[in-house]
Amino acid sequence: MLNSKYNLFLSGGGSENDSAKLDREFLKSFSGSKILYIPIAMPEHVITYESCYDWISTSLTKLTNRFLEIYMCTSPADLSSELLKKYDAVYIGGGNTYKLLQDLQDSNFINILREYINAGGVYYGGSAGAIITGINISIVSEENDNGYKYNKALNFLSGHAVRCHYNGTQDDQINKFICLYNSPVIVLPEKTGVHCFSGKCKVIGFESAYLFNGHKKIEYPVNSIINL
Amino acid sequence: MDHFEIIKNNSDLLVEDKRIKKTIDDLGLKLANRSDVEAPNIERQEKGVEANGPEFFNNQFEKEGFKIVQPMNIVDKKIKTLFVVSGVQILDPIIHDNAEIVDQKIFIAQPVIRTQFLPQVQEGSLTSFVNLTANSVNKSYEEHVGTINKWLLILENLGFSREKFSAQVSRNKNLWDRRRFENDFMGIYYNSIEIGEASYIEKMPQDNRPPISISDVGFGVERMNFSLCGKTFDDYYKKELPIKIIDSSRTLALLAGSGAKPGNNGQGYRVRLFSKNFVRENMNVGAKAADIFKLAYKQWSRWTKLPLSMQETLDILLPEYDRNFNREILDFLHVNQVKIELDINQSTDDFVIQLIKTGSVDKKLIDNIYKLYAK
Repeated sequence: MLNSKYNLFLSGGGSENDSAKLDREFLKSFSGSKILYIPIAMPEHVITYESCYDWISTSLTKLTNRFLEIYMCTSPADLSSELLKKYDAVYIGGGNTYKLLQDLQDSNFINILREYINAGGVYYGGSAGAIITGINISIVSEENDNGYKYNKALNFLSGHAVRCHYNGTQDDQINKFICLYNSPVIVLPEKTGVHCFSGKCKVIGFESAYLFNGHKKIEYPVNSIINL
Repeated sequence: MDHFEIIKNNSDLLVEDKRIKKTIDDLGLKLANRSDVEAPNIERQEKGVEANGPEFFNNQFEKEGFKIVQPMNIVDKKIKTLFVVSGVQILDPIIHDNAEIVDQKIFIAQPVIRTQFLPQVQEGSLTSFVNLTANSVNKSYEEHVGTINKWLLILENLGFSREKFSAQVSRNKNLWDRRRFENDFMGIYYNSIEIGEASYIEKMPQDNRPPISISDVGFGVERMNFSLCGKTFDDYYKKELPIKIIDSSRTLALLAGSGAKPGNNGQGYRVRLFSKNFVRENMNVGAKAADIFKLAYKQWSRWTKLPLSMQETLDILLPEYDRNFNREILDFLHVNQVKIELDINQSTDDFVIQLIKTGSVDKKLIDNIYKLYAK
C-alpha cells in the first residue's frame, strides 16, 4: 500500500513531447513556482549541465502561463534540507542511475529527500530520477560500469522496482531481475509515466505502462490505475 | 542512457599514466589537496589582475602564433546551447557541423553565462564572466601541454607565483551534445581556488571524417581576481554592493545588451529569471538600478562589442525591473490577504497610482514601496 501523502511523478525518460502530459500534471500539482532541478545523474561537464537547464526550462515553461522559477543544483554537496525548503517541487533528471544514487548517498541527501517525499513534497523523477524511487536500481545493472557500490534505492513503491526507456526488447532482462531480487517491476516506455498520489499510481502519457510480477506482464493503459 | 565516469584521477592516474605524471612534473605543479580545495585559508594580495580588457591576453597569445578571434554574441545561433557557456564553443561548427578544420591555434576572450551558479552566487562563483580560452584542433598532446605552460608564464607576468599553483587531474568518459569521448582533464588551482581548466580530447568522434583532437585551456578573469585578492571585481564597484546584485546586474546587462528580451520561455526566460533575482536582492539595498546596469554595461563593453547600445539595453532592462518589482508588491499584498489584481506590465509609478486608487492600501505602505523602489 502506497503512502497516501506521496506526490510522485515518474517519467519513462522520453523527449519533452513524450512527457508533456505528465509534465502538465506535475505543474498543476503545486501552486507555487519554484522548482529545484537536480541534473547530477548527467556527466559533470559544464556544457552538458547548461544544456540540461536549457532543456528543462524550455520543456516546462511552455506548458504553463505562470512564471516558473527553476533553479539548478549541480553539486551534491550543496543539497540540504534548508535548500529544499525554498522550493515548491523537486525535479531529478536522467543520466546514470548509479552515479545519481551514489551522489545522493554520499551527500546524505537521500535521507533528506526521503523525509521530503514522506511529508508529501512534490517530486518529479525523469528516467534515473524515477528509477531511484524503486526498491533496487539493479534493474539497470548495465549502467554500473564504474564499480558503484549502492543499488538499494528509496523504495517508495511498495517493494517495486522501476524500469524506464522500455521498448519491448528488455523483457528477458526484467524477468532476470525479478528472479534475482524477487521484486515486481513497474515498466515505463518513454512516452508514458505514472503519477503516484492518494495511495495509487495513475498512468499518464501516450502509451500503456506495464507491471511485471513473477511471470506475468500486465498492461495498464493510459489513465488506468496501478494498484501497488 | 548517458554515461559518465571518472576513469582514474589524481594520484591513481599519476601512478598509472606516465604522460600525465610527466606533464605535472614538467609544469612544476603539485597535486591539489582535495581538502584544501575551495576551503582556502591564505594570505591575499591587495589587488587583482591589472586587466580591464582582452588586449593584454590577446597580445600575449598573438605573439605565440595564436589567431585572435572576436568573442561570439552570447545568443549566437551557431552554438548548441541557448547561450554561450564556454569559449571552446567557438569550435562547435567544427565539432558538430563538419565545418572545415582550422589549422591555426585560436585565442578568444569570451563572455559566458553559467546559470548553474545562480542558486549559490558568491565571490568567485558568478553567473557570467569572461572565459579566456586557448583552443586548437588536431594538435598534439605536447602542444596542449605547451599551451598550459604558456598560460602559467602569462599568469606569472601578472603577479602569480608558480609555487602557489596546484592541479587536480582526471581521465573521464564524457558527453558533449550527442558525442561521447574520453578526455584528460586538469583543474588548475591558485591559492587552492580553481581558476582554470585544461582539457585534451584525443579523439572527438566525427560524423563524416576521422576523429579530431581538441585542446582547450581556459581561465576565468574574475576567478583570477578572486584567487589573488579575495574580491572578484577589485575596486570597480566602489559602492560596496552585495555580490548578488553585482552578479545579476552584470548577467542582465550581458543578456539584454546581446539582444535577449524578457519573456516566459526560451532565451527571454533567463532574462526574466535574473531580473526577478535582481529585484529581490535590490529590495534589501535600494540601489539605483539604472546606475548599476550602466556600470555593468560599461564593464562588458571593455571585453566585447555588445550589439545593443547602452540606451537600448536600459530600454529592455528598466521596464522589466518595474514589472518584476510590481509583481513582488502584488505577491506581498496577497500574502498579507490584500487581494488586488493589477496589470504588472506598466511603470511602477503608474502601478502605484492604480494601487492607491483601489483604496486597499494605506499611505504608510505606499511610502515603504517607494523606499524599496530604486530605479
